[in-house]
This record gives sequence, C-alpha cells and structure tokens, in this order.
Amino acid sequence: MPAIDWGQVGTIAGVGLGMVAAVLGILTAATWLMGVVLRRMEKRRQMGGGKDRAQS
Amino acid sequence: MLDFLGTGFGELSAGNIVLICVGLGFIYLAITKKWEPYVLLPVGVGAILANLPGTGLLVYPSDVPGEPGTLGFLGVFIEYGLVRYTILPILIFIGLGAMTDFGPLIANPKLFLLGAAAQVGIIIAFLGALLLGHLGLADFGLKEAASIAIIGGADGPTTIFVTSQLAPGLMGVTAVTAYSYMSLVPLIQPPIIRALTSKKERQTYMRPQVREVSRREEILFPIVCILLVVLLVPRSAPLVGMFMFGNLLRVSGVVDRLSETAQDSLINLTTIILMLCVGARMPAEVVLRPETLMVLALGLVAFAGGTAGGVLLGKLMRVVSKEPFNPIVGAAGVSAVPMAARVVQQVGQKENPRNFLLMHAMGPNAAGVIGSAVMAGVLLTFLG
Repeated sequence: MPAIDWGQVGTIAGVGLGMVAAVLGILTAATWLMGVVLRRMEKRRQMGGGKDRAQS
Repeated sequence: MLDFLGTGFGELSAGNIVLICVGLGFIYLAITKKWEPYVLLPVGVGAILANLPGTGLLVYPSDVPGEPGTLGFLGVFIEYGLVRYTILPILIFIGLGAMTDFGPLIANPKLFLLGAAAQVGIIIAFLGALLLGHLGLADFGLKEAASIAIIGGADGPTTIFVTSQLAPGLMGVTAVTAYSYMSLVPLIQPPIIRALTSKKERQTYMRPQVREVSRREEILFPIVCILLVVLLVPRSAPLVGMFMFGNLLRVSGVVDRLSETAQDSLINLTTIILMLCVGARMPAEVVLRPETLMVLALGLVAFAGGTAGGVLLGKLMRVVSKEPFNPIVGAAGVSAVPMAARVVQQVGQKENPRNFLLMHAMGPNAAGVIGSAVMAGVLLTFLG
C-alpha cells in the first residue's frame, strides 16, 4: 500500500464537502428564485385575466 | 472421493461454508424478520451461489492453464453492469427519481442545506478509513477509503456506483453494510438525535407544509437540477441526471406508462440482478478478513456522523429561522429514503403529539440523495 498523501486527502475532504455545500446552496437559491418568479408570473396572469374579463 | 463425479464437495473450503451460512442468515432475516427483504433475499442467494465451488456462474475455468476463463451468467452482469460500465445502479436511479416527490423541497428550499450537512459523515469515515490504513491496521488506500466512506451517503445504489469504480473488491461488503445500516436507521438515529437536542427543541411545533407547489415548478425543478449540478460536478451526471430524468417522467404527466415502468418493472428487474451480483461479490477470501469488521465500524461512524451533521445544522437553522424550526428534521438529511424521514416523524410525534414532521423531513431526505450523488461525483473526479 503506497504512503498516503495527506495533502491530497485534505483537498478531497475540503473540496468534497465544500462542493456539496456550494451545489446544494446554489440549488437552494435557484429553487427559491424559480418559485418566486413562477408565482409572480401566475399572479400577473390571473390579474391580466381578471382585467380582460372586466373590459369585456 | 466425490471429486471423481465432478461434485464441488472437494473444493468447498471452511470460508465458503461460513459465507454460505451468512447467505442463509440473510435469507432467514429477509423472510422471517422482513429485514430489507428486497435486498437481503437476492444478496443471500448470490452469496451462496458465489461460494459454491465449480458453478461457473462467475467464471467458467479455461481449459488452457494460465488463460482467463469465460464469464458466466452472473460474471457477465458484474463485469458489464457494474465493474466496466456501472449500468445497474444508474438504472435504479431512474426508478428512484420516478418514485420521489420533491414537493416539500421545492416548497421550502432551505431544507437543501440539511442534505449537505449530513454528508459530513462521509468525510469523517473517509478520514477514519485512511487513519486505519496509515496505522497499518487495514489495507485501505484513498480509493478504498472513499468506497467505504460513501456508505455514509445512506444510499445503496450510490455506494455500489462508487465502489464498483474505485474498489470493486469491496463492493459486496460496502453494499451489504450500507443496506444493513439503512434498515437499522430506526435504531441508530434516535439516540444521536436525543444526545444532540434538548427536549424543548424536539418538541418544537412546525406548521404543516407552507405552500402548494405548482405543476410548472415540479417540471422545471428536475431540469434546473440537471443543468446546475451536472455543470458543477460533471462526474455526478450518471446519478443526478438519471434521478432527475426519472422524476421528470413522473411530474411531466404525459408519459404515465414510462413513469409506471420506471417505478415498477425497471426498478424491480434491476434490483433482482443488482442484488444477486452484490451477493456474488462476497466470496469467502474477500469477506472473511479483519477489514470487513472495520468497514462495518466505519459505516456506522459514517451514518452517525451524517445524522449528527444534519441535526447540528438543524439547531443552527432553528436559531436563525423566523418560523419555529425543529432541529431533528436535519437527521433526515442522510437520505435512507424514506426510513430516516419516518424516524424523524416518530421521534417528533413522541415528544409532541401535535407535531407532524414527515413532510418537512422528506425535503432533506430528497436533498440527501442529491448531496450524496454530488459527493460521489466529487470522489470520482479526484480518484476515478
């Protein structure tokens, strides 16, 4: 068994955990943003529909 | 004497007999105790078959001395479905995706973070395995350590996916360890949850799911996940890509037959073959070594570390959250879907009968699957 390169171990552990935190953090932000935008669009669509009905 | 008739008795070693007994034990546990029967029944049969000599199920011996033999029935699946191309665990991920409801996670995206914190167990076990190797107590290098550590992802197919590429010899042991601890989650997690939280924290009442999730959000979510995760960690693509593809089959609402097939026939057929292969990767000479006990111990450390990581981040979220937040929800971040979420529900309701934490726990539970797939991708990027 070759000697363990503890520097590489530190990199794998640090980058591994950091990458998981970063990816899931980005997904948190993206999912939240997606929800906000879609709900706003839905609200606008409903309001637009309401106005159209009022005009007709 | 019976060798003359071509029987296997003469070649049967004491180790083979022990592993055959282990296989019989798995079948007993699956049938009488209903302990992970979908896993332990085929694994038990696979282990028995792998330890019966002269079957040719793995390799037909060559007539020419020194030449490799031809692959047998299980050998073909192991070689092409696991070691060379890793197809089988990826197919399982399509089925898992089709069975997963991301609604609670989309409704409350901050639960993603709990899925990340629970991956701490993988790193703890990785360092622990390397330390054992460094001290000369085990034959663990970086690849073996990573294969053992991924048990902490509490996800059988992810464990098999990583181990089959980094340390195929360990695949039988790591897979059985992962599935065994997944079924033991109701015993492993509650003491850790209780040790890290006060009674008041465990009693915290959380309102039921905060909002309805629209179909458009459900459809966009897997597509966004594929684009972001695969761009950031390309090596996680086989797992995350197929997981999200399976989910898209489910939520799109236009391919019901494909969704049903993924949830039913595909996952069942793949489970049969995959688990037989896992059992067949348990020959006596590989399993009956002190390292196996260390894998079991490190797997437990990984599960415990993951649970602790999730609960501790849950405590932090409780402090910063405007809404009441029960920190035990973090324990579900280890994935082990849906067992870990059920444990959170049981512990929470025992402390406060008003509490219904299952839907809150399903969020980090699903995030944990994504988190462990990302961690698998990172490990393969460095070591694959």
